[in-house]
Amino acid sequence: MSEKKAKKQSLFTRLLVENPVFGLYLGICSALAITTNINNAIGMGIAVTIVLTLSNILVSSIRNLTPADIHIPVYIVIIATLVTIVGMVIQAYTPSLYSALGAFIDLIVVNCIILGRAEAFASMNPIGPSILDGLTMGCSYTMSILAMSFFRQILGTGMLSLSNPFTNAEIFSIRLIPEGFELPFFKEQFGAFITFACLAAAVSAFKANVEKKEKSAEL
Amino acid sequence: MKKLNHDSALYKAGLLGILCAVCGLLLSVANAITAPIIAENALATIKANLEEIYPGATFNDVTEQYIGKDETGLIDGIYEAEGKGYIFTLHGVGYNSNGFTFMVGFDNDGAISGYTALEQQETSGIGARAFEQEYSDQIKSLTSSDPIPLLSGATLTSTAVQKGIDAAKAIFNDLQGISYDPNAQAATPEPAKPQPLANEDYSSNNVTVEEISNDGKTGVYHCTAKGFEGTNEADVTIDLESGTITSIAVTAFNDTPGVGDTATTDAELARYSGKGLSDMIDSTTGASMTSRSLRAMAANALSLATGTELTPGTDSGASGSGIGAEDFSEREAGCVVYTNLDETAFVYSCKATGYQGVNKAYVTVDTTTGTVKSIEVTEFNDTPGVGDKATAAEELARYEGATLESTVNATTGASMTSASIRAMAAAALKMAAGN
Repeated sequence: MSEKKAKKQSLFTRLLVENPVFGLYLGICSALAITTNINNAIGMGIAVTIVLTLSNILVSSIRNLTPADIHIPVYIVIIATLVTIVGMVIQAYTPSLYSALGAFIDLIVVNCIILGRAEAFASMNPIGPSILDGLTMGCSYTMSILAMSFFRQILGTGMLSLSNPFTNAEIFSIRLIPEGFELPFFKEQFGAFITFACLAAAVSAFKANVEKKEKSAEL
Repeated sequence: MKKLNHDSALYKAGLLGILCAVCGLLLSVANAITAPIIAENALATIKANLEEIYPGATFNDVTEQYIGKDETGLIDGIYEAEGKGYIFTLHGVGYNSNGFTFMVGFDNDGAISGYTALEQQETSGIGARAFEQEYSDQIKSLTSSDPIPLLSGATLTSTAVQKGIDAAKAIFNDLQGISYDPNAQAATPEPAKPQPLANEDYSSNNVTVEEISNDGKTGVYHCTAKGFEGTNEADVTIDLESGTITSIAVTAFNDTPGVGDTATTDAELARYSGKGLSDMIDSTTGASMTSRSLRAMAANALSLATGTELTPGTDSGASGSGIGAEDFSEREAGCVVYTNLDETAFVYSCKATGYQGVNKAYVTVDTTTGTVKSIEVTEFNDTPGVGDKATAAEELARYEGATLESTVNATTGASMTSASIRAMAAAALKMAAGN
């Protein structure tokens, strides 16, 4: 991906084409696992965005001090520390979210997006752009898993609902598919793969379309 | 990228070391802030229940610390109430196969401070009685060294409760260094002594009796009586001359198959033949409700056949004098099995109100003869110089060989203390009789 071309594209296009989940196939593990409802997706998305942005800031700020051959251990220590702290905060203040996300909070450590952005962007750029990169990537990860959980929750349970993770109070809940007509397998792993495949195909088609347009514009 | 001395191993090690130290510091700060909140969250769900036993106490979840010692798997959680005691949450399965959960609390000195159901769907009026005030008061009067008594008529549920509390006792006593006899048998004061047929209270059995035949010598009566869950029916044949039962045949059984029907086997029913209204028929163990419905039918048939009225609640055997018949209701006497010296001699730890305080004594009873072997006063709280006349060795010696029927005269000038000792002796004897 060339940074120059990216700047020309609109933010929306950039988010889709350079989408870490559907465009770059990064961080798929958690995307498949926790996208059973939009509550989980928002919680996970925010957690990843925070970790990603903070790790980008830290990696970027010590990029000139870090010798090339120990940069991976340095990043891992930074990311693991951030994830553990975020995990503790989630467990303390939103216990329901903690029990829903379970081990996947700790597994943010090995989410390729974070290590990927630290390596590919933050270690070579100043703090400002690194923050922006972290936020952009975090948001597009959040959007991706939100899209997946949107379809999976509606198809799997027939409902769309959101609740306040701090109090467990329901914010809204609507039934979109009458009871008995929902497709419970969308709650399972199988449904996760189907949803992922369909959305990735759609993004891929969009990407091809954009590239085609760019080519014709260049000509 | 500047690379002055960045390639030296010392620099790299130093950088990683500093990084790890900083991260470790951050983590411990985050942990210090969040750990109490996380612990509180874990306690929040159960805290309202724990507060019932120790209101306002500071609770710590010590489940992880001690649960490994539990061999029964019945303990769900262990909570320490700081400076007060411990609470165990437990589960068990009684009559309802979904099981139930309950909690039991022990003060640090061993007294049972609380016992409450958390979630239970046992049958109302039967198994659910194991969670009602009467039984829970009985349990709360015990300590962690006492055996837990069963509740008759709610055997399945109270057995599960007993097992659970035993598991909790094992861990608590281990924790506090309290030694006790885990195999001690609880006295079952509730069924008391078996009563003659005519004296039992059958009001809840809704008995009906119908004469089928009567040739002047033998009468056959068709009876119905409510058992555990349904109404049982039986034909009772009575020898009219002697006023005794010739035979009893169950014609309809509507209680729990496999449970209540242990009372309706031929061998059990054979125990009724030759019995009259003044005879006693023991309950069939584990089928007390069905058993009682049978006795209700037998008694009512006998009553109709012989024209004798039933007199529930009065036991002619105890209507004489004797300490068994004396009214000690103001003494509030109570005993628990303390230990047994051998198979026939049980030591009961008893207490009873005297003149101004509660006196305590060990009463040793020979259970085969139902007599007092000895009494040892362990705590005296009445007026020194007055009440203690009744606790002198020669006074206590007067109880030796006493049964429930014996009369033991009050010690002159110490009638209240004396009454408290008689009350304890009577309570121990009654308990031994129920054993």
